[in-house]
Amino acid sequence: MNPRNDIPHAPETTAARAQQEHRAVDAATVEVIRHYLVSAASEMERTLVRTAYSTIIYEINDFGLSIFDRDLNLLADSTGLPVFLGANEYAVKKTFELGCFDDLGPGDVVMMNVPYITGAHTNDGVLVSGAFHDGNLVAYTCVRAHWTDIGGKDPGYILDSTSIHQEGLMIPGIKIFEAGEPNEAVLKIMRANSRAPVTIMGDMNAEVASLRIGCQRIEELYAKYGEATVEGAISRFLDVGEEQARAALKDLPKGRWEAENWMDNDGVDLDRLVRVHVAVTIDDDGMTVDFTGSDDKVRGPINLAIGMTQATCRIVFKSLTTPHEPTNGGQFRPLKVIAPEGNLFHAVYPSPVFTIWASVIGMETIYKALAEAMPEAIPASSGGDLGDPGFYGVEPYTRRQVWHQTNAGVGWGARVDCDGMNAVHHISQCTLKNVPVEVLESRLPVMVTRSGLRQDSGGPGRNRGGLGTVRNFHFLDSFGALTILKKSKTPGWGLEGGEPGPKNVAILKPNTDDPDWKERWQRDVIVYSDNDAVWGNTDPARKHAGMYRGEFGPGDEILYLAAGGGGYGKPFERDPESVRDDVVDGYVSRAAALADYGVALTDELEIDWNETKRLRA
Amino acid sequence: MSYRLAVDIGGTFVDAIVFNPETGALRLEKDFTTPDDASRGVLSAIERLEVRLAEVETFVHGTTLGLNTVLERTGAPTGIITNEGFEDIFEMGRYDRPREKMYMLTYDDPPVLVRKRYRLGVPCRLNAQGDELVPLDEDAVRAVAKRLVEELGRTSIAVCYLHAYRNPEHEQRTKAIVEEMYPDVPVSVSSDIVREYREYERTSTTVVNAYVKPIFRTYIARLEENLARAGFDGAFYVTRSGGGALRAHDSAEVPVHTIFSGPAGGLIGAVALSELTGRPDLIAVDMGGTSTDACVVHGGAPSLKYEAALERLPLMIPTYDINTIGAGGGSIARAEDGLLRVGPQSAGASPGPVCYARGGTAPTFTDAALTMGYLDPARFLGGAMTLDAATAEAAIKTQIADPLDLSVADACRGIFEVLLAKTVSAVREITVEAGLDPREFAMLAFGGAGPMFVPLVGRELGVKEVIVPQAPSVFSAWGMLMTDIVQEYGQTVLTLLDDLDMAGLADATRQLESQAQAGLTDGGFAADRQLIERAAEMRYFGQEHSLEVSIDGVLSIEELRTRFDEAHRRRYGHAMEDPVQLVNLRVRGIGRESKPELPKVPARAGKAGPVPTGTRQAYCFARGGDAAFRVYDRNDLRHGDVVAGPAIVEEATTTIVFFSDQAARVDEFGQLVISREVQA
Repeated sequence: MNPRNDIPHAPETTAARAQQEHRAVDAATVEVIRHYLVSAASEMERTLVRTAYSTIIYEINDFGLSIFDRDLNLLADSTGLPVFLGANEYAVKKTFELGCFDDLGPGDVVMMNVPYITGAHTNDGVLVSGAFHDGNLVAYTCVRAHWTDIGGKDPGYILDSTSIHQEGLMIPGIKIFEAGEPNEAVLKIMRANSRAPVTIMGDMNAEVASLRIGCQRIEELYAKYGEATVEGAISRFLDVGEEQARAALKDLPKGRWEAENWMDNDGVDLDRLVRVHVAVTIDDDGMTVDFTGSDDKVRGPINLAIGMTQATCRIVFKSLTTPHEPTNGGQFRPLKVIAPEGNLFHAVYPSPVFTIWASVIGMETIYKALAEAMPEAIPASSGGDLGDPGFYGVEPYTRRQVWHQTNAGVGWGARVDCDGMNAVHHISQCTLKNVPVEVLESRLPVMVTRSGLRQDSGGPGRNRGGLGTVRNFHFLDSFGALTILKKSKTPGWGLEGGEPGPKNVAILKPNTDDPDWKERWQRDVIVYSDNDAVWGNTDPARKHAGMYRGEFGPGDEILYLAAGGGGYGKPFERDPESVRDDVVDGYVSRAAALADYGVALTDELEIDWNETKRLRA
Repeated sequence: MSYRLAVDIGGTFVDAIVFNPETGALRLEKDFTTPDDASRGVLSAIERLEVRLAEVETFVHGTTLGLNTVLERTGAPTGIITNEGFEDIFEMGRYDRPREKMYMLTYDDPPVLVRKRYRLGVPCRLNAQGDELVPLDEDAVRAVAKRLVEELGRTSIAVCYLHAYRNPEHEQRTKAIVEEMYPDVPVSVSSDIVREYREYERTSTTVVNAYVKPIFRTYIARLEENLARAGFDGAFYVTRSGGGALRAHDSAEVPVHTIFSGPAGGLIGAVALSELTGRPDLIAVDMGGTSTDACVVHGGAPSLKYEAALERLPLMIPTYDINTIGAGGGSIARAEDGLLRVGPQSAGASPGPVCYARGGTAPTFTDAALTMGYLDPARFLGGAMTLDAATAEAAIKTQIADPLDLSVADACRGIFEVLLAKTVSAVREITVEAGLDPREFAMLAFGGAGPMFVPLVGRELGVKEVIVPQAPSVFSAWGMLMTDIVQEYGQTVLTLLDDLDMAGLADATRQLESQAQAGLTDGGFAADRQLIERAAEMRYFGQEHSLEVSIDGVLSIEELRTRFDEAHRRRYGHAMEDPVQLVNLRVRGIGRESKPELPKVPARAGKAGPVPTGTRQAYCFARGGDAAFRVYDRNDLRHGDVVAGPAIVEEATTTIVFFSDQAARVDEFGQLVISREVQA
């Protein structure tokens, strides 16, 4: 067994040749070709978004598109969400190793959705096509997008599978199109296994259209400039990508730092916290992220495929080195990711992998380790979770099976020079837009009775953490809903004396006026939340509101209180005028100003300087 | 007399143009903007036109006042009244960060335009059907209005309640209460501006309107007063972001509609030119000093979109669907990590390109053009300015060529190539990706730098022809003269087609039509100058974005469905079986104005062609090397002339360049029509 999980390498057939040629390609042509490839990737994206059937693709942007050269170097990508950064690279290389592209011809599309290979879950299948020049395969286009349903054990999202075989149909690198014609046999199998056959076929056609556009653009590029120039330019800009990343690394501190973090549970053993541990090393060769210290594989579906682990690390690495540049594979050459097989961050068959949350928690943990190294460059922890009640069932209006996610805005961590941002999605999906109240209410028998910033949720500090959000969903009629929280039992962290804010909370409130409520809920609870800070909830039986799935009835409520970001610097060093401002705006309560910041305010919200001095002394 | 007058205020210049419909004469003036009091610049530009305002029948005004007010954060102290429990909607937005900042740990949104303390809630609530769940607490409205105005010093109020697009009663009642209490405080109400769902976007649109309104109102009032004092008693209009113009009085109520009217003049001009010269399919490319705007006119109609964004603030207003890229004459080139990058940073007008010798040290696109031989250093701006060619070339050599190990000529060519790649992708985005083939389009080149560069862009894309109109650098102001008056009326419906009946739909449409007709009649348009257009915004249920489809002449719900399916197929390549939802009905009342015709140029007498003023060595993209370009003065060209490339045509404020595989014909309107010829 190879405990180091380097990305497998494709044969370097043309690399050496291109290396020699790239001297010959001038800087302007390199830039034109690079720009062309970036714009081909965005054209692939717009094709996908404009023709897709399901909201999860065209509204939620749950996809990633990439272009690779014949040696499987990443040339350009277009990712709807940050978490898909470079996620296709591992998938394409692995699929190549398995021989799935051996007889790839023009118009062929290979589909692969085995999670251990794609680095995702079964619903995120990867489709690959080839671009040809003079009869030779010169490049690959690749798309992954979330399919609404591929036959897992539950509709919507799977929270508690214990084997990959509960998570849906697997298609291990089969041609679904040959020479432009669909392979009906495979498509029939897919339709028969999906709860949403029309939708997934529509989305698949959109993906194929997008691959086709990408290949066409690459073929035009080769036709215009010729192979030597295109590949010389590619080789050059990949080198530039690496040089840029290395130049940025040079300015970072060198050493090894560790951090620990916790996930609430694995979805099956609900009372056991799951340990996430990383060691980050930065030296002259690059940056290494090592997850060896994390828990071994768990029974529930929070195990992470290694491809996703790498994508997670890439976001962090890119944010440190080349945040402004369009992505290419050269930029990631100095990054190494280690997770032994069978570790939480390197799932192997038949471990369940559906819930991708280890990526969310893992990413924050890497930043936590880096904060040790460079507290001036890294923010304190964010709210740390996605916080999404999801609604599933048959929509009354369209009479169709639907799945709506409504993720929470969390607070982002304070930084050395400013407060954290209020109410933004977690960094792993920060480009995602939420579902407006008016849209939700016009589709579901749910009324939102409150949607606002959560007072006192920002971690206290000289710079305050950003605020999380409060949302209250009131059911008007029966509908299915589920909650997912994986960071509600342990707090985030402040930096340099800053403190974390209160934790994420999901609260389920049955309508106790309904005589059948106990039977409906199958639990003898009134208020049901994940941690004891809220509503006097101290009964240990009343936990795990963040992992609940079931039918809600009229008058039932779900409350979500999303965590804020951690503070930066000592709270007593915060300018009392800023504290007063926060109280005037209601970000911070008068009581918290006194207790957390040592700032006393009068009834007119003027600063009581004498009292403040005494408190802060 | 009945002159038509148009004045367009841009970032640097005020362009003024006057048209005499009797003689067909046009006169143009340019003046610097006067940021301290923009209305003064307008009046001084009018003065320079030497037109008697008493003889002006209509005055069309385009202004970036609204835009600048938001960008510079100089708007009115604004307060928001909304539902209790939802006061933070405006600050929280949609919880997203901009795509291009997704990996930046240090990114922050700009500070919120209306702080939390100025956003107050009142009890009241509608459901998605518009039914009242909680009645409006009028005492609470009075209390929050008092607090916002008297205690917190707010001078403009925005009101936005959930589902008000369905039922505006609570909002309208709130407006009435606040106006009664404080007649001097303008109240902007979401249902007056947008009747579409999505509370954050609607709130943001309303807030921007409120933020701009007092300043805009004062500006319009002052201008009206000054114009009246100078004898003007004609109709006064302000251009809209989505085409057409509003009565000035109306624009002061909904100034948010004027926010993106900056590039609108050029587009109106493009549409007019498309009609006047029989070219229904045009790609308009306006290349200025800092940016290039590209927009498609298809079948004689410009592409529109119904949502725009200003910085991070979404605006639900119709605007031209313009693709803007940071590429212009002032775009700065630099060698970075062994690559050649151009833009989006621009040297602008100040310090400007190196060759302006006004302190600019970074080489720009214009410096490359000069070094390549396209510009005559002695005759820039008609000889008003001399360019410093030696310093420009030195800057390119030391900052670009040497670090990249290129010759100066290759560095210059590279700067053109990089900008060309960017511009071509921008045009592809709005054509190829919308299912339109640029080879079936003509391309219109205007703006100061357009005529020099756009023929190259058109050549690369294989368009049918590139048109360079007369006076291309002030084409936008000319376009404003071609404006019709447009008033829009809309109603959110949000019903599946299956649940609609045609009679009810026709009724609702008729109601909007009579509003539109009344509005036009009010504005002085006789029935024969009124045009009514009806459209429906529809989408497959579950989609967020809707498509507008004309419903003129639609007689049945089935036909409505078919029209939508067709529009969707045209735009996105496929139709679906899903239920279709009618989101909004829109009726557009258009008041047709009399417009200038295109001035014609005489045909050449005799058989001899135009005589070049000389020749210049310059780089020819068709030959891939230097060539002798014949140089012409545009004033010497006549209808029917054919100029073979490679050639340079000079006029006072711009230079036209085309290559050895292109030739220009001069049409009856004096336009240069450049097309691909058999390789010369």
